[in-house]
Amino acid sequence: MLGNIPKAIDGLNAIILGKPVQIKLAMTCLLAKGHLLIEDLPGMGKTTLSHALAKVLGLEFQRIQFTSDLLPGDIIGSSIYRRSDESFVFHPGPIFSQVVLADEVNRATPKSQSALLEAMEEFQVTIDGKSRDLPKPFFVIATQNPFHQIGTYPLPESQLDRFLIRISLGYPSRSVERQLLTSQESKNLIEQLEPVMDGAELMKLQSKLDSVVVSERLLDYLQDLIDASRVNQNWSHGLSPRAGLSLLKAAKAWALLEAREHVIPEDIQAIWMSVTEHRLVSQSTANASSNQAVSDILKSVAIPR
Amino acid sequence: MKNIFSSQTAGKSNKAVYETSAQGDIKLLPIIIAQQLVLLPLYFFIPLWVVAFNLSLALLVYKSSINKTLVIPNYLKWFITLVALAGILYTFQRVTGRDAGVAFITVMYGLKIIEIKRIRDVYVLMILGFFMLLAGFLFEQSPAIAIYQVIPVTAILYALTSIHLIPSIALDEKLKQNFEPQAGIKKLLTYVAYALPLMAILFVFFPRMSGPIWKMLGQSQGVSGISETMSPGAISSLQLFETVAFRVKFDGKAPSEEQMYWRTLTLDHFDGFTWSRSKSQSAKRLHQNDVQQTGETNSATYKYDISLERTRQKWLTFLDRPHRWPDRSVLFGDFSIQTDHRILKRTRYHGVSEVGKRVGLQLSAKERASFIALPTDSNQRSLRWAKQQRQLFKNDQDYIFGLLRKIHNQEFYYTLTPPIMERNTVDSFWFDHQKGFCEHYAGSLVFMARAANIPARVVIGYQGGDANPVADYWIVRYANAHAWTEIWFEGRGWIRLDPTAAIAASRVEEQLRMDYSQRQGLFGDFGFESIDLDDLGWIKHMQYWIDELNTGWNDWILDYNRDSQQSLFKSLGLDQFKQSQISLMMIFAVGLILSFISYRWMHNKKRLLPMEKSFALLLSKTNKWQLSFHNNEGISQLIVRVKEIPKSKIDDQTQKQLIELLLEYECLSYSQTKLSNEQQKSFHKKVKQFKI
Repeated sequence: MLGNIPKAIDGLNAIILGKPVQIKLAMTCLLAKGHLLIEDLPGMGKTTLSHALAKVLGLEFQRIQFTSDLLPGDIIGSSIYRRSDESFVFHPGPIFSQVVLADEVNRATPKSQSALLEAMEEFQVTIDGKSRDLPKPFFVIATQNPFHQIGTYPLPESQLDRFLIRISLGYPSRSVERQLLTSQESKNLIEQLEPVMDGAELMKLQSKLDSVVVSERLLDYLQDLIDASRVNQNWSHGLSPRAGLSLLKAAKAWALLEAREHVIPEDIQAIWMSVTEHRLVSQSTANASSNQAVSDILKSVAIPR
Repeated sequence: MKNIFSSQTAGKSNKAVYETSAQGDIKLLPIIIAQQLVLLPLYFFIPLWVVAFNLSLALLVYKSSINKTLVIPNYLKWFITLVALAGILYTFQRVTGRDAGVAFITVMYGLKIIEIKRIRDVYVLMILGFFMLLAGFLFEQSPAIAIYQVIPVTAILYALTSIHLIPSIALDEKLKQNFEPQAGIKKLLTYVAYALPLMAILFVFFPRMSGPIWKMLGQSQGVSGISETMSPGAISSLQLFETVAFRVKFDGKAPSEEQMYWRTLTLDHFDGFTWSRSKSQSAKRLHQNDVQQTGETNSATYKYDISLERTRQKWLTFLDRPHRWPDRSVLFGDFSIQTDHRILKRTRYHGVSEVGKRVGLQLSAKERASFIALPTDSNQRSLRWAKQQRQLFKNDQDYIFGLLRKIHNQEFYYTLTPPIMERNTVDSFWFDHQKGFCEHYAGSLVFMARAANIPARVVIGYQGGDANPVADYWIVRYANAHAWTEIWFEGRGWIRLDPTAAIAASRVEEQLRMDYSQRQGLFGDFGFESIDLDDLGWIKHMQYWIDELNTGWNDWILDYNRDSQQSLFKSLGLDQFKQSQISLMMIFAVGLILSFISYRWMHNKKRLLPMEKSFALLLSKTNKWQLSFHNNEGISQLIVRVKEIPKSKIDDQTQKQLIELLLEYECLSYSQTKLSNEQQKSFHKKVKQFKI
């Protein structure tokens, strides 16, 4: 049912040590056709994860380093005049790739950020009035530094909403760190990694999502959770309908990864934090990260029996 | 997915409603509808212009609530009010009394709608509505109007909730759904249903007054049916009233319809125009013993209960001839029975009659003289003719039968619209017109008999009846009112003779046959082709049902007075308590119901769905292991804990079964979009069978 996904996950676990949950969430995001946001400090292995993910799934990979002087054209490409036949020829930018790593996305100006986010939402880019489809599958992994660092333009709430899942890798444990220190350089490891599937196979798996069964009772639970987020006083806004849809999509993908053809409440609980945390902006700190109240909702809402 | 969107948009629109209503803009439509539903039953009893006035006022207010530019100015409101008051004064010349009073408050209540500015005004209008509902009962106390009350009550409650609950609707999505029109009305009907037991208790146990608190003025005093005199010539058109005169329930067998002559009183005095009852008739009172001794071999005895409708007279009606009568009444020599009070409400009494019994075998000279007395200054032609005719027959009996044969053979017609006969009524009926109804025939036959010195008298009462096929009783209506004769023959006593029955069937008016099927028994012997009303099907059937309902309503609801309350208490064994103690019990019972209802509301317990029930049952069976399972945890956590139970506390078999059940529960709950009833039932069964 899952094809080579377990193998891919095993391969990733061999490179990113001690982070099986984050790897599974990244896989979930990929299966649910969403985009992934990795929020962490530099040097935590964000880039390594993206690289490894693209490699193991046999997808093309491009990396865009976001800087404050990055222009939209640098992302989506531009038309350049060619003298030989006196015409403009489009030179596609790095976005025309199956997996795009947008590194440190909050360092770029909002104008460049929105060029990327538009492509993420529409799965196409418009240049010189002409729409160009992006390759399929199309998967953006954006990394960002925590907001409060100097020289960042925090993504607004509306754009955070475009990312299906947000994960954070965090420091490794002591034993894992020791392993990191003693093993080879991660760059070499990625090069050694064998692709276990290709884009076509991934798309086939993605289409399986539609056949995952969602019962009325589960929808009751999902709606109870959403309602709870809307009446909660900790945030200025509750979860949007798009957030509800994202929750359901992610839960389905998680269930699929668990080799189940129906969603159970535990699936929703597993993806809850990573799907909702960046969408619920705390009233008091205006900080989307580490929100105790988000996990409290899970504790307070009973599962309908 | 759709749900998420729709609930979002609905929430927004409700916020909008709330904001506008805060500006003093009240939704008027439910209020107007409730007001008009309250007034609807009254519209049948008040002048038409009041109805038109109220309706157009409501329409005007509704228009102005939609079209903001249409504002009713204050001076116009004053003008409308003054016009309405003037109209009432002009129509009734006063504002007191039932008709004028109700019309007056109806107009005032109708006017109230133009004053609505704030929510407080709506409260006043709607709460007044509950009071206005009572006004309808001043005119009509039928079960239909009582059942109808449910509609305006619900409408008032709906109007009140629709204005009152808007703020909370905006806050609470779930509450809002309760007050969308359809679901809201359903909910309100359940609230009304909650009130029913309270109503029943208060009705049964609330202390009853011994008499009506007030007497309504302006009620019609007219009496239909039987009156104490009979003036055949003066009537040009007899109305057949379908109004019920009385109902009879036979104890045992019932007589045939031809034998059903319901006797009320006799008329023995004729002044040339009007037959009336002379005082001397009441001089002779018969006792039970006097009547019982005169038994006959070819007579049949019937026992029955009569429930007589209000007559405003003292006479009681019995099957001819009465044999046993109620204690508080007297039987006079002419077999008329009178009570000591007027029948002002439905009265029930028991009677025994012997059909075909001979009475009055002996007639004193004085009595005889009074039964042949006739005025000599009128109807000369008839007097002479009768004397001549008598000569032609050898005895009285032949003479009388000769008269009946004449009625049968000659051109005598039965009609309800006879010509008016002013003087010499018997002459003009017998010789000129030969058209009339029972009173003409009975009066003339008695006249002819007396003219030939044969004692005779007119009997008035009812003939026939209508068996209610649904219930075991007969209905006798005003249309059954009838007059016949009794003629005294030497050695045979008073013999009943009905000249109307002698009319040839072909000469009974066609129209009458159609309308007047109640008397089919009367004309049946003459080949009258009767219409069988039972074949008319469900409409007639319904009418009988409705009649039974009305009877029950009268007996149990309207006639529930102090006496029937006392006897009910007695049969319930409550007669040992004082009235005040019973009242205390009533208050206690009402309080109990109220607290039960409010308990239900406060602890608005969601009713368990079948799966919920099964799961709760399964969970309760695991109590002894103290699994500390929280309601926000999934089944997998529970399974983990079941696996963690030490082996000493659980045997493998039970553990395995429990885990299987939990897995099945999870599979049932989430692997299908919806569960069938059978699946839920079979799972519940499994859980029940699971033993620890």
